[in-house]
Amino acid sequence: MLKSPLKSMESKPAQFCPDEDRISKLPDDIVIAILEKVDVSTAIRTSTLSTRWRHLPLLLSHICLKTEDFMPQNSTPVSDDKVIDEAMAALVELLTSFVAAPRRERCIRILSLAVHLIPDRLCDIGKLVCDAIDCGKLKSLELEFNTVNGVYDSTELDMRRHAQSLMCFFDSSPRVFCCLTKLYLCNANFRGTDMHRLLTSCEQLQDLTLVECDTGCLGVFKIDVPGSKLRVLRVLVSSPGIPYQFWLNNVGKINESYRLGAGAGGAEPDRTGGAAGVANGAGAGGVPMAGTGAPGTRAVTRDVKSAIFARAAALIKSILAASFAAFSGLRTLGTSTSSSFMQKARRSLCFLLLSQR
Amino acid sequence: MAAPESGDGNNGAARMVTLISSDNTRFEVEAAAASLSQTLQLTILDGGGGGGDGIPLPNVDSATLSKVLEYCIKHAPAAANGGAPNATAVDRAELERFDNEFVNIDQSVLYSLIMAAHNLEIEGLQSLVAKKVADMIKGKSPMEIRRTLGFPDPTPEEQAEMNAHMLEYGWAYE
Repeated sequence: MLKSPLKSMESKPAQFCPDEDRISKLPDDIVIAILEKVDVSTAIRTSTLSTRWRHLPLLLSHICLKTEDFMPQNSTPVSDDKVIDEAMAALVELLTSFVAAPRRERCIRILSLAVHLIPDRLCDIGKLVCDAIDCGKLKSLELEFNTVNGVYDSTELDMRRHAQSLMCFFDSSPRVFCCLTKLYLCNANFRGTDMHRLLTSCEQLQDLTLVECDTGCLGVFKIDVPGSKLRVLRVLVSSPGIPYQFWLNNVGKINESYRLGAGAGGAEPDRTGGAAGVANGAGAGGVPMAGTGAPGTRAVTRDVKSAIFARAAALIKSILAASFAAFSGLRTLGTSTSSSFMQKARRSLCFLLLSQR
Repeated sequence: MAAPESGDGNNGAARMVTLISSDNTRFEVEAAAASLSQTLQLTILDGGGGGGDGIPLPNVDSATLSKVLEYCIKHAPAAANGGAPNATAVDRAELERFDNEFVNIDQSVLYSLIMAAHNLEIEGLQSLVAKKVADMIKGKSPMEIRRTLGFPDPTPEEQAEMNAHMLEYGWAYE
């Protein structure tokens, strides 16, 4: 039986004449596919090209918005509260247009937001996202929360406040959990019960990154979701001399104690490597370092500590990888510490329980 | 015409199919290469395109089709390996080099290629040409984008609209 492809090809909107072979004439869905491959600023700029293009940028099915996209290029990153607040306001406004686009028929396949912890703006974002989910307009949500104060400028109090803002966001928008597939949290000190509640609610989560997140001294991070979908887990920590505890439900408790120092990092390919790089850059960029000796001494110390770190990281990795692989679908695991020996020893870290029943 | 080699084409000599462009030129290619097109795949699985029959493609001219097939032939082995998990870095680098060279073409050719990739539903090629156009406009000003994509210069009304847009979306013009 010979089936002709003619029928399927005729159904396509493929009108093009030889004298009109210009990219400006491409059909809408191809233009949208192109716009999904440029940054959001460029996409928005194309909306003035013609009447037909005006609404096309709002019909993207893969939307990726970062606070940084909305900041003036020369503003010093993560420093000016007002700049960040204005950028977040612009982000919220654009997100509103995306979600409410009048001609949107296709749903948003992936909405990827990298935003800062500004409670009022997060509240707006939560509402928009929940509305989109309720209307069936959103399939998959990826969230990255950055803090206005960097890791090096944050006190314990700041970290606790960050955690409260996060919990407040998730508590007021619980419906995000049904779409949330990727989550990045940083620089937050959670109450143990909150962390447990948060991670346990993420039923669809496939990719989790925790950077400088802790639950106070000797806290335990627990992911207790039957049939968790988690596939990628990255933990970045700085915790000089603080015991690492791993709770694994089929192994029991493993107690390991390491003295970790200025780890340049067993850099993982993507996020982990990037974040470690940033942390090191910040350290070199004149962050006050308490108790460091002459430059020469420091270099030696760094080398020694890096070596210790590398061994510890490898061990952590092998323990976790072996244990997780035994009973879950976890494919990627990254651990790293940032350059932190100059910091207060304040973090206790990296406790995971992932159970599959 | 019987379906040769039970339609699999995995063993024995590679099965060939014939494609006929809009200007009636016949192209004979391996079924595996032509099957990168989702549109053609079912027909080919059903045993079509072999022998003297040929599959007519009334929307694709011969110049474009030969270009499309150049892509398919190059990418077919990797696709047959299921995304080539065991491909060497050298193979991947070679494909990347080929791809970069492949889209280094006139805009009218690029346009025909975009339409053909779309009509024939060749996923990798669709993505490659979309990426090419994206790279052409990335980071450019509205006027530069206009010229790059072949839009006419703005009318005074359009210019006024562009200015208003620039005020409203200041962040996108930084």
